[in-house]
Amino acid sequence: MTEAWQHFAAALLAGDERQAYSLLADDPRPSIRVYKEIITPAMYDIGEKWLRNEITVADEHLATSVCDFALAQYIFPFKRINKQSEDKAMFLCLEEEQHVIGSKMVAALFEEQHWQVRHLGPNLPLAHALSSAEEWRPKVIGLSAAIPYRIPALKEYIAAFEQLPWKPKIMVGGRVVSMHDIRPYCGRQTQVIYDLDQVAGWLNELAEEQADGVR
Amino acid sequence: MASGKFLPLPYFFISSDWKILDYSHAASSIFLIGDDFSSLVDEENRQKVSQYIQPHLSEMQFELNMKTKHDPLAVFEISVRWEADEAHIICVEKTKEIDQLASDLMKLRSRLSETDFELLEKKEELEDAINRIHKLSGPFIPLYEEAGLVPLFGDLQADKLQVIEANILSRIDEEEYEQVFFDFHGVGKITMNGKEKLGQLFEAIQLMGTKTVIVGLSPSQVQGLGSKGTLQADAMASLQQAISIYVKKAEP
Repeated sequence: MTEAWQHFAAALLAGDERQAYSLLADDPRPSIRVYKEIITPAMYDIGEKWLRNEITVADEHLATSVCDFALAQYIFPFKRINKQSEDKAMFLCLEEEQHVIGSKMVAALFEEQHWQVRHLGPNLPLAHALSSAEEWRPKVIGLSAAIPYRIPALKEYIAAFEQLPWKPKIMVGGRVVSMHDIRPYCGRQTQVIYDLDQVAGWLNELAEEQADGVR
Repeated sequence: MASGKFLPLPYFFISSDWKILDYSHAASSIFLIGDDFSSLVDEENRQKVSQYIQPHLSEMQFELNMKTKHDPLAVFEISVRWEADEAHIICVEKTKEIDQLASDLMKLRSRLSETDFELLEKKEELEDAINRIHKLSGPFIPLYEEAGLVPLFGDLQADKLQVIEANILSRIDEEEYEQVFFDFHGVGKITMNGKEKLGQLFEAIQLMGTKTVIVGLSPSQVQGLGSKGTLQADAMASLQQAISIYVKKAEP
């Protein structure tokens, strides 16, 4: 049987954003499972197709763009009502990093819990990221890194964000955290994110605390 | 054969176990060259090297991320050709093109999503506006303590009546009106679904114990209305007549 993620991967590689979006929108699964069981395996598969010499880097970029677009449409219904929210979260990929989909899915989970979310996109220099953060003062800053040689840069980003005076919570995720132990570079306010369930769990706990009036 | 030393592109001549036997000047100006071809790539790309640089694949082309002096993950198009146990390899860098493509796609992506979301937002605004127009096409006007008036305007379809109904029923519920006058003078066409919905609306009002008085229905609008035989409503030709009759009744 062909799995939903295989259809999704095929639509991404075909550049068919309508088909990609309807595969997400029409799927009966709750959104976190759509992220975990359709988008994630499809994107991994596309990476492996490059290793098997079936597609080119250009195809990968196109697929990422289509995926990004379909995901943005999928979460659009949440976006509009969040404009007034006090809870703000900012996400970004390190400079020289293009792997944007993982952090977009994490951002989507925040949107669904009615946070105001800004995703600053791939390839973001630290200075830009810092000035955006200072201006907007998000409660959570999510960092994503996929390429192991960028770990020294990741260290630098974490250290810089930990210095911010209002002490935002920092979340670090992406492929590098599953390949290398980066916890030694993280202070107390920084959390390493290994999967989407962990983020969803944290958000739920926080929502429950707020509902109980616990500060 | 002539040496590849002076080829204008990065060129490697390797043995079947990927030992580098010779290379061009163009190669040494870009790469830090070790003994082994796979030392030019990181661990993940080594898999691709060992899979696709093999003597039985006599001619092969594929993409590879390679470590240059300036970029640890530059994209190259690799062309391999084997001659017995030795291979000639030419590497053509594609990083610039790929980066250009990525940034073009980024721009396109953000523009696409902006327009798309603007459209979606406009659509929602439009739906809100239509909803509001529907509501204003059947306002509820309190006349005196026991009676209200609903002047209807424009063509009546089910979705418009749906919006009107919600408003009217909640008003009747709040104030306990005895009669509600429905004035059809401003109405154009009534669709089939509209007639059905209208019948349901009148029934609902009657179930709440309020009388419906229909005023100014034209012959073409009457057809198909209340065909189920459940409609109990007084009908009058003009609003003036209707109000004067009911106001007189209401007087002690």
